[in-house]
Amino acid sequence: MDYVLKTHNLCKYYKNFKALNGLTMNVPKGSIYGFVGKNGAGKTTLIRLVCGLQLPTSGDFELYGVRYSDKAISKSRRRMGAVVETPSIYLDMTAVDNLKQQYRILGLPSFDGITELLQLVGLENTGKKKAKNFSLGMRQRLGIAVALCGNPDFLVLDEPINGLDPQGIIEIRELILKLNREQKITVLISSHILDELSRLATHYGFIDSGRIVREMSAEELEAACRKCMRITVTDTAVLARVLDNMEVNYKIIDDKTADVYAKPNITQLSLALAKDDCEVLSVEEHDESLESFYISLVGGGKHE
Amino acid sequence: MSKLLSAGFVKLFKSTVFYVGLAFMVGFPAFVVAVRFVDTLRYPEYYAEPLDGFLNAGLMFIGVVIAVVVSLFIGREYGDLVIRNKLIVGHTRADIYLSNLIVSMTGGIILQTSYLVSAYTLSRIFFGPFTIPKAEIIKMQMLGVCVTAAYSAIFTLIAMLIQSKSAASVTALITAMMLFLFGMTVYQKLATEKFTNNPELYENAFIGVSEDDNNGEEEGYYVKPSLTGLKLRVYRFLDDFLPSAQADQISECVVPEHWDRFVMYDCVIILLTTITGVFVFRRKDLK
Repeated sequence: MDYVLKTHNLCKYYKNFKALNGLTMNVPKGSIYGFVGKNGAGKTTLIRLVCGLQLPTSGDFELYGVRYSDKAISKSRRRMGAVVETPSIYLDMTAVDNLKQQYRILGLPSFDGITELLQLVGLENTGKKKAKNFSLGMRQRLGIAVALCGNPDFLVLDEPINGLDPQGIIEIRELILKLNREQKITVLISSHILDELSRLATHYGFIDSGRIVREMSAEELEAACRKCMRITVTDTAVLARVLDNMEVNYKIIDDKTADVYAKPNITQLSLALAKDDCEVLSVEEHDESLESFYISLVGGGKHE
Repeated sequence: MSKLLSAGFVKLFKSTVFYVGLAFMVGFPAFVVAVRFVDTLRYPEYYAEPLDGFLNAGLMFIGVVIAVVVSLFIGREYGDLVIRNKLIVGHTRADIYLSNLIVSMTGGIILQTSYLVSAYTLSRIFFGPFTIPKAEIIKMQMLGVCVTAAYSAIFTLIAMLIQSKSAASVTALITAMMLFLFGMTVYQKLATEKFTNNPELYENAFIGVSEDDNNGEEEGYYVKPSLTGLKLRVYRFLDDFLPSAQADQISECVVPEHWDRFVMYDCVIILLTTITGVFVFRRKDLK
Protein backbone atom coordinates (compact mmCIF):
# COMPACT_ATOMS: atom_id res chain seq x y z
CA MET A 1 0.00 0.00 0.00
CA ASP A 2 1.22 3.52 -0.80
CA TYR A 3 1.38 5.93 2.08
CA VAL A 4 1.31 9.70 1.90
CA LEU A 5 2.42 10.18 5.48
CA LYS A 6 4.33 7.79 7.71
CA THR A 7 5.49 8.67 11.18
CA HIS A 8 7.81 6.58 13.30
CA ASN A 9 8.14 6.93 17.03
CA LEU A 10 7.53 10.65 16.82
CA CYS A 11 8.03 12.65 20.01
CA LYS A 12 7.44 16.28 20.81
CA TYR A 13 8.11 17.67 24.26
CA TYR A 14 7.25 21.11 25.55
CA LYS A 15 9.56 21.44 28.53
CA ASN A 16 8.38 18.52 30.67
CA PHE A 17 5.10 17.93 28.87
CA LYS A 18 5.08 15.10 26.35
CA ALA A 19 2.63 16.19 23.66
CA LEU A 20 3.65 13.31 21.38
CA ASN A 21 5.15 10.25 22.95
CA GLY A 22 6.38 7.81 20.32
CA LEU A 23 3.58 8.24 17.79
CA THR A 24 3.60 5.87 14.84
CA MET A 25 0.94 6.15 12.16
CA ASN A 26 0.46 5.63 8.43
CA VAL A 27 -1.90 7.58 6.19
CA PRO A 28 -2.74 5.54 3.06
CA LYS A 29 -2.88 7.30 -0.28
CA GLY A 30 -6.42 8.19 -1.36
CA SER A 31 -7.89 7.76 2.10
CA ILE A 32 -9.79 10.06 4.41
CA TYR A 33 -7.86 9.42 7.58
CA GLY A 34 -9.82 10.30 10.69
CA PHE A 35 -7.48 11.27 13.46
CA VAL A 36 -9.45 10.76 16.64
CA GLY A 37 -8.55 11.84 20.14
CA LYS A 38 -9.69 13.97 23.01
CA ASN A 39 -8.48 17.53 23.58
CA GLY A 40 -4.81 17.56 24.47
CA ALA A 41 -4.21 14.07 23.06
CA GLY A 42 -1.66 15.45 20.57
CA LYS A 43 -3.67 15.78 17.34
CA THR A 44 -2.80 19.39 16.63
CA THR A 45 0.82 18.87 17.68
CA LEU A 46 1.22 16.12 15.10
CA ILE A 47 -0.36 18.33 12.43
CA ARG A 48 1.96 21.21 13.35
CA LEU A 49 4.95 18.90 12.91
CA VAL A 50 3.70 17.58 9.58
CA CYS A 51 3.12 21.14 8.36
CA GLY A 52 6.61 22.25 9.37
CA LEU A 53 5.41 24.71 11.99
CA GLN A 54 7.37 22.86 14.65
CA LEU A 55 10.21 20.36 14.75
CA PRO A 56 9.97 16.98 16.47
CA THR A 57 12.02 16.42 19.61
CA SER A 58 12.83 12.93 18.36
CA GLY A 59 11.51 10.33 15.95
CA ASP A 60 10.89 10.65 12.29
CA PHE A 61 8.24 11.19 9.67
CA GLU A 62 8.07 10.88 5.93
CA LEU A 63 5.90 12.82 3.53
CA TYR A 64 5.64 11.10 0.15
CA GLY A 65 8.62 9.01 1.13
CA VAL A 66 10.83 12.00 1.96
CA ARG A 67 12.16 12.35 5.50
CA TYR A 68 11.27 15.61 7.22
CA SER A 69 14.94 16.48 7.71
CA ASP A 70 15.80 16.09 4.01
CA LYS A 71 16.05 19.17 1.85
CA ALA A 72 13.61 17.62 -0.61
CA ILE A 73 10.85 17.90 2.01
CA SER A 74 10.12 21.37 0.58
CA LYS A 75 9.05 19.73 -2.69
CA SER A 76 6.89 17.20 -0.85
CA ARG A 77 5.25 19.99 1.11
CA ARG A 78 4.29 21.69 -2.14
CA ARG A 79 1.95 18.75 -2.66
CA MET A 80 0.04 19.44 0.53
CA GLY A 81 -2.38 22.01 1.82
CA ALA A 82 -3.54 22.48 5.38
CA VAL A 83 -5.91 24.29 7.67
CA VAL A 84 -4.48 24.15 11.18
CA GLU A 85 -7.00 25.00 13.91
CA THR A 86 -8.25 28.34 12.56
CA PRO A 87 -8.05 29.26 8.86
CA SER A 88 -4.94 31.21 7.83
CA ILE A 89 -6.37 34.06 5.79
CA TYR A 90 -5.82 37.80 5.49
CA LEU A 91 -8.85 39.23 7.23
CA ASP A 92 -8.73 42.57 5.45
CA MET A 93 -8.61 41.03 2.00
CA THR A 94 -11.42 39.66 -0.15
CA ALA A 95 -11.68 35.95 -0.92
CA VAL A 96 -10.20 36.52 -4.39
CA ASP A 97 -7.28 38.58 -3.02
CA ASN A 98 -6.53 35.90 -0.44
CA LEU A 99 -6.29 33.27 -3.15
CA LYS A 100 -4.19 35.55 -5.36
CA GLN A 101 -1.79 36.08 -2.47
CA GLN A 102 -1.46 32.31 -2.01
CA TYR A 103 -0.89 31.91 -5.76
CA ARG A 104 1.98 34.40 -5.50
CA ILE A 105 3.46 32.54 -2.52
CA LEU A 106 3.32 29.36 -4.59
CA GLY A 107 4.80 31.20 -7.57
CA LEU A 108 2.00 30.16 -9.91
CA PRO A 109 2.31 31.90 -13.27
CA SER A 110 -1.32 33.00 -13.55
CA PHE A 111 -4.45 33.34 -11.47
CA ASP A 112 -6.28 30.71 -13.52
CA GLY A 113 -8.43 28.46 -11.40
CA ILE A 114 -9.35 30.97 -8.72
CA THR A 115 -12.96 31.23 -9.88
CA GLU A 116 -13.27 27.44 -9.92
CA LEU A 117 -11.77 27.19 -6.44
CA LEU A 118 -14.24 29.73 -5.10
CA GLN A 119 -17.09 27.85 -6.77
CA LEU A 120 -15.85 24.61 -5.25
CA VAL A 121 -16.06 26.03 -1.74
CA GLY A 122 -19.20 28.04 -2.44
CA LEU A 123 -17.68 31.51 -2.08
CA GLU A 124 -18.01 32.66 -5.68
CA ASN A 125 -20.52 35.39 -4.79
CA THR A 126 -18.63 37.14 -1.99
CA GLY A 127 -17.49 39.98 -4.27
CA LYS A 128 -15.68 42.77 -2.42
CA LYS A 129 -16.67 41.53 1.02
CA LYS A 130 -13.59 41.25 3.19
CA ALA A 131 -12.80 38.04 5.04
CA LYS A 132 -13.21 39.78 8.42
CA ASN A 133 -16.91 40.13 7.59
CA PHE A 134 -17.30 36.43 6.70
CA SER A 135 -19.12 33.97 8.94
CA LEU A 136 -17.05 31.28 10.66
CA GLY A 137 -18.15 28.72 8.08
CA MET A 138 -17.21 31.00 5.19
CA ARG A 139 -13.78 31.62 6.72
CA GLN A 140 -13.31 27.89 7.16
CA ARG A 141 -14.21 27.31 3.52
CA LEU A 142 -11.91 30.12 2.41
CA GLY A 143 -9.14 28.51 4.50
CA ILE A 144 -9.74 25.26 2.66
CA ALA A 145 -9.71 27.10 -0.68
CA VAL A 146 -6.34 28.66 0.23
CA ALA A 147 -5.09 25.19 1.18
CA LEU A 148 -6.27 23.89 -2.19
CA CYS A 149 -4.30 26.46 -4.20
CA GLY A 150 -1.72 24.73 -6.35
CA ASN A 151 -3.80 21.53 -6.57
CA PRO A 152 -2.34 19.62 -3.60
CA ASP A 153 -2.99 15.92 -3.35
CA PHE A 154 -2.78 15.80 0.42
CA LEU A 155 -5.06 17.94 2.55
CA VAL A 156 -4.64 18.28 6.30
CA LEU A 157 -7.62 19.61 8.22
CA ASP A 158 -7.45 20.20 11.94
CA GLU A 159 -10.88 20.29 13.57
CA PRO A 160 -12.50 21.77 10.46
CA ILE A 161 -16.04 21.69 11.83
CA ASN A 162 -15.37 23.23 15.22
CA GLY A 163 -17.82 26.00 15.90
CA LEU A 164 -19.81 25.51 12.70
CA ASP A 165 -23.59 25.41 12.59
CA PRO A 166 -25.31 22.23 11.28
CA GLN A 167 -25.56 23.65 7.76
CA GLY A 168 -21.86 24.55 7.82
CA ILE A 169 -20.95 21.07 9.04
CA ILE A 170 -22.86 19.48 6.18
CA GLU A 171 -21.20 21.81 3.64
CA ILE A 172 -17.70 21.04 4.88
CA ARG A 173 -18.46 17.32 4.94
CA GLU A 174 -19.79 17.37 1.38
CA LEU A 175 -16.76 19.37 0.27
CA ILE A 176 -14.29 16.91 1.83
CA LEU A 177 -16.07 13.94 0.28
CA LYS A 178 -16.14 15.68 -3.10
CA LEU A 179 -12.42 16.46 -2.95
CA ASN A 180 -11.60 12.91 -1.99
CA ARG A 181 -13.84 11.21 -4.52
CA GLU A 182 -13.54 13.53 -7.50
CA GLN A 183 -10.00 14.85 -7.15
CA LYS A 184 -8.53 11.84 -5.36
CA ILE A 185 -7.13 14.05 -2.62
CA THR A 186 -5.91 12.23 0.47
CA VAL A 187 -7.32 13.90 3.57
CA LEU A 188 -6.02 13.79 7.12
CA ILE A 189 -8.78 15.14 9.31
CA SER A 190 -8.54 15.49 13.04
CA SER A 191 -11.60 15.74 15.19
CA HIS A 192 -13.08 14.76 18.47
CA ILE A 193 -16.61 14.82 17.02
CA LEU A 194 -16.73 11.10 16.37
CA ASP A 195 -20.17 10.92 14.83
CA GLU A 196 -19.14 13.40 12.15
CA LEU A 197 -15.88 11.59 11.44
CA SER A 198 -17.72 8.30 11.04
CA ARG A 199 -19.58 9.79 8.06
CA LEU A 200 -16.34 10.61 6.29
CA ALA A 201 -13.36 8.54 7.24
CA THR A 202 -12.09 5.51 5.37
CA HIS A 203 -9.34 4.96 7.91
CA TYR A 204 -8.96 5.81 11.56
CA GLY A 205 -6.12 6.51 13.92
CA PHE A 206 -7.01 6.70 17.61
CA ILE A 207 -4.62 8.81 19.63
CA ASP A 208 -4.30 9.07 23.36
CA SER A 209 -1.59 10.74 25.45
CA GLY A 210 0.57 11.33 22.40
CA ARG A 211 0.43 7.74 21.09
CA ILE A 212 -1.62 5.95 18.48
CA VAL A 213 -3.56 3.31 20.40
CA ARG A 214 -5.19 1.74 17.34
CA GLU A 215 -5.14 2.20 13.57
CA MET A 216 -7.87 0.59 11.52
CA SER A 217 -9.91 0.85 8.37
CA ALA A 218 -13.54 1.94 8.35
CA GLU A 219 -14.55 -1.66 7.54
CA GLU A 220 -12.69 -2.96 10.55
CA LEU A 221 -14.26 -0.35 12.71
CA GLU A 222 -17.69 -1.15 11.36
CA ALA A 223 -17.16 -4.77 12.18
CA ALA A 224 -16.06 -3.84 15.66
CA CYS A 225 -19.02 -1.57 16.19
CA ARG A 226 -21.77 -3.31 14.28
CA LYS A 227 -25.13 -3.98 15.82
CA CYS A 228 -25.56 -7.38 17.42
CA MET A 229 -27.61 -9.35 19.87
CA ARG A 230 -25.85 -10.17 23.08
CA ILE A 231 -27.07 -13.56 24.23
CA THR A 232 -26.37 -15.05 27.62
CA VAL A 233 -26.73 -18.82 27.80
CA THR A 234 -25.67 -21.58 30.16
CA ASP A 235 -23.15 -23.01 27.66
CA THR A 236 -21.67 -21.05 24.76
CA ALA A 237 -20.15 -24.20 23.24
CA VAL A 238 -23.66 -25.44 22.49
CA LEU A 239 -24.65 -21.99 21.27
CA ALA A 240 -21.69 -21.93 18.89
CA ARG A 241 -22.66 -25.28 17.42
CA VAL A 242 -26.27 -24.20 16.92
CA LEU A 243 -25.28 -20.87 15.38
CA ASP A 244 -22.85 -22.62 13.03
CA ASN A 245 -25.72 -24.82 11.86
CA MET A 246 -27.84 -21.70 11.32
CA GLU A 247 -24.94 -20.06 9.38
CA VAL A 248 -24.99 -16.96 11.53
CA ASN A 249 -21.96 -14.80 12.39
CA TYR A 250 -21.15 -14.57 16.09
CA LYS A 251 -18.41 -13.86 18.56
CA ILE A 252 -17.97 -15.71 21.84
CA ILE A 253 -17.28 -13.26 24.64
CA ASP A 254 -16.96 -15.77 27.50
CA ASP A 255 -18.36 -19.17 28.48
CA LYS A 256 -21.84 -17.72 28.96
CA THR A 257 -22.02 -14.72 26.62
CA ALA A 258 -21.82 -14.30 22.87
CA ASP A 259 -22.55 -11.54 20.36
CA VAL A 260 -24.66 -12.65 17.42
CA TYR A 261 -24.45 -10.49 14.29
CA ALA A 262 -27.89 -11.26 12.95
CA LYS A 263 -31.49 -11.46 14.11
CA PRO A 264 -32.23 -15.18 14.33
CA ASN A 265 -35.68 -16.46 15.24
CA ILE A 266 -35.47 -16.55 19.01
CA THR A 267 -38.00 -19.39 19.39
CA GLN A 268 -36.13 -21.60 16.91
CA LEU A 269 -32.83 -20.75 18.56
CA SER A 270 -34.19 -21.49 22.04
CA LEU A 271 -35.67 -24.81 20.91
CA ALA A 272 -32.40 -25.81 19.24
CA LEU A 273 -30.44 -24.95 22.36
CA ALA A 274 -32.93 -26.71 24.62
CA LYS A 275 -32.31 -29.96 22.72
CA ASP A 276 -28.72 -29.87 24.07
CA ASP A 277 -29.76 -28.76 27.56
CA CYS A 278 -28.67 -25.23 27.05
CA GLU A 279 -30.88 -22.46 28.45
CA VAL A 280 -31.23 -18.93 27.16
CA LEU A 281 -30.78 -16.63 30.14
CA SER A 282 -31.13 -13.26 28.41
CA VAL A 283 -31.17 -11.61 25.01
CA GLU A 284 -30.50 -7.92 24.48
CA GLU A 285 -29.70 -5.74 21.53
CA HIS A 286 -26.13 -4.54 21.70
CA ASP A 287 -24.87 -1.61 19.67
CA GLU A 288 -21.33 -0.40 20.16
CA SER A 289 -21.03 3.09 18.79
CA LEU A 290 -17.81 4.67 17.60
CA GLU A 291 -17.94 6.65 20.78
CA SER A 292 -18.09 3.60 23.05
CA PHE A 293 -15.48 1.88 20.93
CA TYR A 294 -13.23 4.91 21.39
CA ILE A 295 -13.84 4.94 25.13
CA SER A 296 -13.05 1.25 25.29
CA LEU A 297 -9.77 1.97 23.52
CA VAL A 298 -8.56 4.96 25.48
CA GLY A 299 -10.42 4.39 28.71
CA GLY A 300 -12.91 6.75 30.28
CA GLY A 301 -10.40 8.62 32.37
CA LYS A 302 -10.41 12.28 33.13
CA HIS A 303 -10.95 14.66 30.27
CA GLU A 304 -8.04 17.10 29.98
CA MET B 1 12.58 33.45 -2.45
CA SER B 2 11.46 35.52 -5.44
CA LYS B 3 7.93 34.17 -4.90
CA LEU B 4 7.95 35.34 -1.30
CA LEU B 5 9.33 38.72 -2.31
CA SER B 6 6.64 39.12 -4.95
CA ALA B 7 3.93 38.28 -2.41
CA GLY B 8 5.60 40.48 0.22
CA PHE B 9 5.81 43.57 -1.98
CA VAL B 10 2.20 43.22 -3.11
CA LYS B 11 1.20 43.01 0.55
CA LEU B 12 3.37 46.02 1.44
CA PHE B 13 1.84 48.18 -1.26
CA LYS B 14 -1.65 47.18 -0.14
CA SER B 15 -0.82 47.77 3.51
CA THR B 16 -2.74 50.54 5.26
CA VAL B 17 -0.06 50.99 7.92
CA PHE B 18 2.56 51.58 5.21
CA TYR B 19 0.46 54.33 3.63
CA VAL B 20 -0.21 55.92 7.02
CA GLY B 21 3.57 55.99 7.57
CA LEU B 22 4.08 57.41 4.09
CA ALA B 23 1.47 60.12 4.68
CA PHE B 24 3.24 61.08 7.91
CA MET B 25 6.69 61.18 6.29
CA VAL B 26 5.40 63.33 3.43
CA GLY B 27 2.98 65.37 5.52
CA PHE B 28 5.32 66.28 8.36
CA PRO B 29 7.75 68.33 6.20
CA ALA B 30 4.77 69.91 4.44
CA PHE B 31 3.38 70.98 7.81
CA VAL B 32 6.72 72.37 9.02
CA VAL B 33 7.32 74.23 5.76
CA ALA B 34 3.81 75.70 5.92
CA VAL B 35 4.32 76.92 9.50
CA ARG B 36 7.74 78.31 8.65
CA PHE B 37 6.35 80.02 5.58
CA VAL B 38 3.67 81.76 7.65
CA ASP B 39 6.43 82.89 10.07
CA THR B 40 8.45 84.16 7.11
CA LEU B 41 5.54 86.26 5.93
CA ARG B 42 5.25 87.78 9.42
CA TYR B 43 8.95 88.17 10.24
CA PRO B 44 10.94 88.05 6.99
CA GLU B 45 14.06 89.37 8.71
CA TYR B 46 14.32 86.26 10.90
CA TYR B 47 13.04 83.36 8.81
CA ALA B 48 13.58 84.04 5.09
CA GLU B 49 16.52 81.71 4.59
CA PRO B 50 17.01 78.18 3.12
CA LEU B 51 15.87 75.32 5.37
CA ASP B 52 19.19 73.46 5.31
CA GLY B 53 18.91 72.17 8.87
CA PHE B 54 15.49 70.66 8.17
CA LEU B 55 16.53 68.43 5.28
CA ASN B 56 17.55 65.36 7.29
CA ALA B 57 15.44 65.97 10.39
CA GLY B 58 13.25 63.03 9.35
CA LEU B 59 16.02 60.67 10.40
CA MET B 60 15.46 61.73 14.00
CA PHE B 61 12.11 59.93 14.14
CA ILE B 62 12.43 57.41 11.28
CA GLY B 63 13.24 54.75 13.90
CA VAL B 64 9.87 55.17 15.60
CA VAL B 65 8.02 55.20 12.26
CA ILE B 66 9.79 52.04 11.06
CA ALA B 67 9.17 50.34 14.42
CA VAL B 68 5.43 50.87 14.05
CA VAL B 69 5.21 50.03 10.34
CA VAL B 70 7.47 46.94 10.40
CA SER B 71 6.05 45.45 13.59
CA LEU B 72 2.46 45.84 12.39
CA PHE B 73 3.28 44.72 8.85
CA ILE B 74 5.11 41.55 9.91
CA GLY B 75 2.95 41.12 13.02
CA ARG B 76 -0.04 40.71 10.73
CA GLU B 77 1.52 37.52 9.41
CA TYR B 78 1.23 36.10 12.90
CA GLY B 79 -2.07 37.83 13.71
CA ASP B 80 -3.84 36.40 10.67
CA LEU B 81 -1.75 33.18 10.98
CA VAL B 82 -0.84 33.46 7.29
CA ILE B 83 2.84 32.77 7.98
CA ARG B 84 1.73 29.12 8.13
CA ASN B 85 0.69 29.23 4.48
CA LYS B 86 4.30 29.88 3.51
CA LEU B 87 5.73 27.09 5.67
CA ILE B 88 3.10 24.50 4.74
CA VAL B 89 3.87 24.83 1.03
CA GLY B 90 7.56 24.28 1.64
CA HIS B 91 9.27 27.68 1.87
CA THR B 92 12.26 27.54 4.19
CA ARG B 93 12.31 29.59 7.35
CA ALA B 94 15.47 31.38 6.23
CA ASP B 95 13.74 32.44 3.01
CA ILE B 96 10.69 33.64 4.92
CA TYR B 97 12.85 35.68 7.31
CA LEU B 98 15.04 37.16 4.59
CA SER B 99 12.11 38.05 2.33
CA ASN B 100 10.41 39.86 5.21
CA LEU B 101 13.67 41.67 5.95
CA ILE B 102 14.10 42.80 2.36
CA VAL B 103 10.49 43.96 2.09
CA SER B 104 10.75 45.81 5.43
CA MET B 105 14.02 47.47 4.43
CA THR B 106 12.58 48.56 1.11
CA GLY B 107 9.50 49.95 2.84
CA GLY B 108 11.68 51.79 5.36
CA ILE B 109 13.88 53.29 2.66
CA ILE B 110 10.80 54.44 0.72
CA LEU B 111 9.50 56.14 3.87
CA GLN B 112 12.84 57.81 4.61
CA THR B 113 13.32 58.92 1.01
CA SER B 114 9.78 60.26 0.83
CA TYR B 115 10.59 62.58 3.73
CA LEU B 116 13.68 63.87 1.94
CA VAL B 117 11.85 64.38 -1.34
CA SER B 118 8.98 66.18 0.37
CA ALA B 119 11.28 68.34 2.52
CA TYR B 120 13.63 69.12 -0.38
CA THR B 121 10.89 69.98 -2.87
CA LEU B 122 8.77 72.12 -0.56
CA SER B 123 11.73 73.92 1.02
CA ARG B 124 13.12 74.73 -2.38
CA ILE B 125 9.79 76.02 -3.64
CA PHE B 126 9.15 78.25 -0.64
CA PHE B 127 12.65 79.13 0.61
CA GLY B 128 14.89 78.82 -2.44
CA PRO B 129 17.90 76.60 -3.12
CA PHE B 130 19.82 74.93 -0.31
CA THR B 131 23.30 76.11 0.61
CA ILE B 132 24.47 72.50 1.04
CA PRO B 133 26.11 71.10 -2.11
CA LYS B 134 24.02 68.49 -3.90
CA ALA B 135 26.82 65.93 -3.65
CA GLU B 136 26.69 66.21 0.13
CA ILE B 137 22.91 65.91 0.15
CA ILE B 138 23.20 62.69 -1.86
CA LYS B 139 25.95 61.39 0.42
CA MET B 140 23.86 62.10 3.52
CA GLN B 141 20.88 60.42 1.89
CA MET B 142 22.98 57.32 1.30
CA LEU B 143 23.97 57.38 4.97
CA GLY B 144 20.28 57.81 5.84
CA VAL B 145 19.51 54.72 3.78
CA CYS B 146 22.08 52.77 5.80
CA VAL B 147 20.59 53.97 9.10
CA THR B 148 17.10 53.07 7.87
CA ALA B 149 18.25 49.61 6.79
CA ALA B 150 19.81 49.03 10.21
CA TYR B 151 16.59 50.10 11.96
CA SER B 152 14.57 47.82 9.66
CA ALA B 153 16.83 44.87 10.51
CA ILE B 154 16.39 45.48 14.25
CA PHE B 155 12.61 45.72 14.06
CA THR B 156 12.33 42.78 11.67
CA LEU B 157 14.18 40.71 14.27
CA ILE B 158 11.72 41.77 16.97
CA ALA B 159 8.63 41.25 14.79
CA MET B 160 9.75 37.85 13.53
CA LEU B 161 10.63 36.45 16.93
CA ILE B 162 7.59 37.65 18.87
CA GLN B 163 4.49 35.80 17.72
CA SER B 164 2.00 38.25 19.22
CA LYS B 165 1.36 41.23 16.97
CA SER B 166 0.56 43.58 19.84
CA ALA B 167 3.51 42.43 21.97
CA ALA B 168 5.84 42.84 18.98
CA SER B 169 4.52 46.35 18.29
CA VAL B 170 4.92 47.43 21.91
CA THR B 171 8.42 45.93 22.13
CA ALA B 172 9.48 47.54 18.85
CA LEU B 173 8.10 50.92 19.91
CA ILE B 174 9.81 50.77 23.31
CA THR B 175 13.07 49.73 21.61
CA ALA B 176 12.78 52.64 19.17
CA MET B 177 12.14 55.10 21.99
CA MET B 178 15.02 53.70 24.02
CA LEU B 179 17.34 53.93 21.03
CA PHE B 180 16.16 57.46 20.39
CA LEU B 181 16.70 58.59 23.98
CA PHE B 182 19.97 56.70 24.33
CA GLY B 183 21.27 58.11 21.04
CA MET B 184 20.23 61.60 22.05
CA THR B 185 21.93 61.25 25.44
CA VAL B 186 25.16 60.05 23.85
CA TYR B 187 25.01 62.79 21.25
CA GLN B 188 24.42 65.52 23.83
CA LYS B 189 27.07 64.24 26.23
CA LEU B 190 29.60 64.30 23.44
CA ALA B 191 28.44 67.75 22.33
CA THR B 192 29.05 68.97 25.90
CA GLU B 193 32.40 67.20 25.89
CA LYS B 194 33.34 69.11 22.73
CA PHE B 195 32.72 72.37 24.60
CA THR B 196 34.51 71.40 27.77
CA ASN B 197 37.58 70.28 25.88
CA ASN B 198 37.65 73.36 23.70
CA PRO B 199 38.12 76.63 25.69
CA GLU B 200 37.58 78.72 22.58
CA LEU B 201 34.07 77.37 22.34
CA TYR B 202 33.01 77.43 25.95
CA GLU B 203 34.51 80.83 26.81
CA ASN B 204 31.91 82.47 24.63
CA ALA B 205 29.20 79.90 24.96
CA PHE B 206 28.86 79.67 28.72
CA ILE B 207 28.97 83.23 29.85
CA GLY B 208 27.18 83.52 33.17
CA VAL B 209 26.72 79.82 33.76
CA SER B 210 29.09 79.54 36.70
CA GLU B 211 28.35 82.91 38.30
CA ASP B 212 26.77 81.29 41.38
CA ASP B 213 29.90 79.69 42.70
CA ASN B 214 32.75 81.71 41.20
CA ASN B 215 31.81 85.38 41.43
CA GLY B 216 32.01 85.85 37.71
CA GLU B 217 35.72 85.20 37.50
CA GLU B 218 37.20 83.80 34.31
CA GLU B 219 38.07 80.41 35.85
CA GLY B 220 34.49 80.07 37.00
CA TYR B 221 33.40 79.36 33.45
CA TYR B 222 35.40 76.21 33.27
CA VAL B 223 33.23 73.10 33.21
CA LYS B 224 35.07 69.96 34.21
CA PRO B 225 34.92 67.32 31.42
CA SER B 226 32.59 64.54 32.49
CA LEU B 227 33.78 62.14 29.80
CA THR B 228 37.37 61.02 29.87
CA GLY B 229 39.42 57.92 29.15
CA LEU B 230 37.53 54.69 28.52
CA LYS B 231 34.16 56.30 29.19
CA LEU B 232 34.80 58.86 26.47
CA ARG B 233 35.89 56.15 24.03
CA VAL B 234 32.74 54.14 24.75
CA TYR B 235 30.56 57.20 24.18
CA ARG B 236 32.35 57.97 20.92
CA PHE B 237 31.90 54.37 19.80
CA LEU B 238 28.20 54.45 20.65
CA ASP B 239 27.84 57.76 18.85
CA ASP B 240 29.10 56.13 15.68
CA PHE B 241 27.48 52.73 16.29
CA LEU B 242 23.89 53.43 17.34
CA PRO B 243 21.58 54.14 14.40
CA SER B 244 19.80 56.76 16.50
CA ALA B 245 23.08 58.58 17.30
CA GLN B 246 24.08 58.32 13.64
CA ALA B 247 20.72 59.85 12.72
CA ASP B 248 21.32 62.72 15.17
CA GLN B 249 24.65 63.47 13.52
CA ILE B 250 23.33 63.26 9.96
CA SER B 251 20.38 65.47 10.85
CA GLU B 252 22.86 68.32 11.45
CA CYS B 253 23.08 68.38 7.64
CA VAL B 254 26.84 68.07 7.61
CA VAL B 255 28.48 64.90 6.34
CA PRO B 256 29.76 63.31 9.58
CA GLU B 257 33.49 62.99 10.08
CA HIS B 258 33.27 59.19 10.53
CA TRP B 259 30.70 58.50 7.86
CA ASP B 260 32.61 55.42 6.69
CA ARG B 261 32.30 53.93 10.19
CA PHE B 262 28.55 54.54 10.05
CA VAL B 263 28.28 52.36 6.95
CA MET B 264 30.44 49.66 8.51
CA TYR B 265 28.53 49.63 11.81
CA ASP B 266 25.17 49.58 10.03
CA CYS B 267 26.35 46.55 8.04
CA VAL B 268 27.44 44.91 11.31
CA ILE B 269 24.01 45.59 12.88
CA ILE B 270 22.21 44.18 9.83
CA LEU B 271 24.42 41.09 9.76
CA LEU B 272 24.20 40.40 13.49
CA THR B 273 20.43 40.85 13.72
CA THR B 274 19.83 38.80 10.59
CA ILE B 275 22.07 35.90 11.61
CA THR B 276 20.50 35.88 15.09
CA GLY B 277 17.00 36.20 13.64
CA VAL B 278 17.38 33.39 11.11
CA PHE B 279 19.07 31.15 13.69
CA VAL B 280 16.32 31.58 16.30
CA PHE B 281 13.44 31.63 13.79
CA ARG B 282 14.57 28.31 12.31
CA ARG B 283 14.19 26.65 15.68
CA LYS B 284 11.08 28.47 16.79
CA ASP B 285 7.88 26.56 17.48
CA LEU B 286 5.08 28.26 15.61
CA LYS B 287 1.42 27.84 16.47
